[in-house]
Amino acid sequence: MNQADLGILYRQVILDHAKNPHHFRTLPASVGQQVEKFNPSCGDVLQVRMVVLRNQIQDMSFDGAGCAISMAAASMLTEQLIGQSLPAAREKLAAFSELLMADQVQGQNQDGLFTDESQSVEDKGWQDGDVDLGELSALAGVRQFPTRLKCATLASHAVTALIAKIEGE
Amino acid sequence: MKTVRDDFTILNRQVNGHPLTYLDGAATSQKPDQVLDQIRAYYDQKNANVHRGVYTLSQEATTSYEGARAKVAAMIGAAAAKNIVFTRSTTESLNWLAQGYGPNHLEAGDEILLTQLEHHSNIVPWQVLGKATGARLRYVSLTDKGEIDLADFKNKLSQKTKIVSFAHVSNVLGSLAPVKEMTTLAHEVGATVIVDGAQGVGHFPIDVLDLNVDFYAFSGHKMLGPTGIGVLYGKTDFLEAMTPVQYGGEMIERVTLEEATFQELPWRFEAGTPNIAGAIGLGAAVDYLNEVGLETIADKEEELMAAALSALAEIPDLTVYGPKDAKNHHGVLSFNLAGVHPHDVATVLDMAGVEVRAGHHCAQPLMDYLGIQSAVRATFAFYNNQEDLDRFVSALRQAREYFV
Repeated sequence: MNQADLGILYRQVILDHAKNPHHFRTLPASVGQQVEKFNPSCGDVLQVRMVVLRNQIQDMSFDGAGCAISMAAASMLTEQLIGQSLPAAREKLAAFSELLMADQVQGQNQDGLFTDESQSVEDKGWQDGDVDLGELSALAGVRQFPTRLKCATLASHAVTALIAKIEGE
Repeated sequence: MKTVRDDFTILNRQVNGHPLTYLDGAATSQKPDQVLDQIRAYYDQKNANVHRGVYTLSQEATTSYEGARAKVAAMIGAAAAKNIVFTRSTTESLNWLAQGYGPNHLEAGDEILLTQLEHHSNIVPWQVLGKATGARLRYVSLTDKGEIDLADFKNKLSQKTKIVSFAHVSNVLGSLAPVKEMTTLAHEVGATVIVDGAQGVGHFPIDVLDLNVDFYAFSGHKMLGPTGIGVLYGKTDFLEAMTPVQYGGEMIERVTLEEATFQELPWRFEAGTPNIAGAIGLGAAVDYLNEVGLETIADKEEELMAAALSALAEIPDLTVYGPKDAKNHHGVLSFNLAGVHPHDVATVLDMAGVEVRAGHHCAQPLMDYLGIQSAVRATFAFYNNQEDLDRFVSALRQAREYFV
């Protein structure tokens, strides 16, 4: 096994977040709104709670069980989103989604199959216009592990649904 | 010296720069050249629709298709080829039972008895049937070893029990159900016995008449055959008591504008052009399994399992689920490394060319019972060898070092 290959997926910052996830706790049910998402392939459950005041994300928490990728993604996402306005949060979520999908599309050959040579751009970080994803850009390596995309996006799908729920009210 | 491994072309490939170590036979087995050659030969030499034309090609295709049915019948000890219905998979076989047999044999208040270790395909069709008929689902609990608790089974059997359905071999724990004993008990209360044989057929000899089960379902692709072909075995009386789930060509006897009469067994259930190449491939798989010998296969799988269990016992913080005895694993080994998620373990193993399954294995009620969300599963087939096991154990140690 080549440890360097593994390092593409498991960047140190990801391992750190996975071991010591931020905002991994249970906020009381009376506070804010919650959404629960399942990863049907492994059975993991993720609950994300968000407190929004005047269109601004005041606090977030997440709870559940998951692999290193899904835990780190949830941890880094909460870091990035707390303090943001809802529109800014939606922009970050869109940029994150693009970060994970961009090379996938480029890496597809004409038959729509993934080629082996998806580019590795995780070191230059990710800038999409003015959107700065911070540590989340470390998850770019997941593009080379398509079977793990669901792990990386579980939290962001939950947050997207949560924001839609909050804005719908 | 030529070994069975030479028959599996795929075993020559590399994965992530390492020789392929395929340990996911419980999800789908690899296919020997002998099976692939027969599928190719059918399309090259005999391709025509079955049971239709009076011409030579159609006759040859029909002979091969029906020949495959006879081979399957012989392998599982069925009374006749007509007791073998070709389906798409174990899942389809079980769904056909829930849709075609269940409604005729259940009333509100009746009970369907399953076990805690079933695959989702032997739970969900019954849940839907239960909701439609008002029948109640009950589940037999397991012993500490992960085996079906016979005392609990006896307790839950009653005159209300109309259908009993359970896995021959657990796809997570590898444990074997005491089929004969359970069948006898179930028949005493007049219940119909259905066995999910997806993890049984192809691993050891099976005799459905001796087991005395009423229905037995399995998949071709888990026993060296192609995907898309499965089997529903049924005793004649029981198949006669089942309503077809699909209607159309091939399954009819005579059609008028108002009504139709249907073919005799087993064609009544096979509406439309069947998976001819799939059945022929399955027949070739049966030939291959017979040639290697099911006893030989069972011995080889047990030998690898014994070696795997002792190697894993040396790894700290590793929990093996199910029986401690290699004899009762039937090639299936599920485990967890404390503090490392199964998906992370599987990715590290994959980088070393070792292909294992990580997840809930379509058995979430069993995961709940074990108090886990998911597990890593390695399957040892007769075409695996000591080198596969060594690469697996070494990658597992690396996974532990990497994350713990």
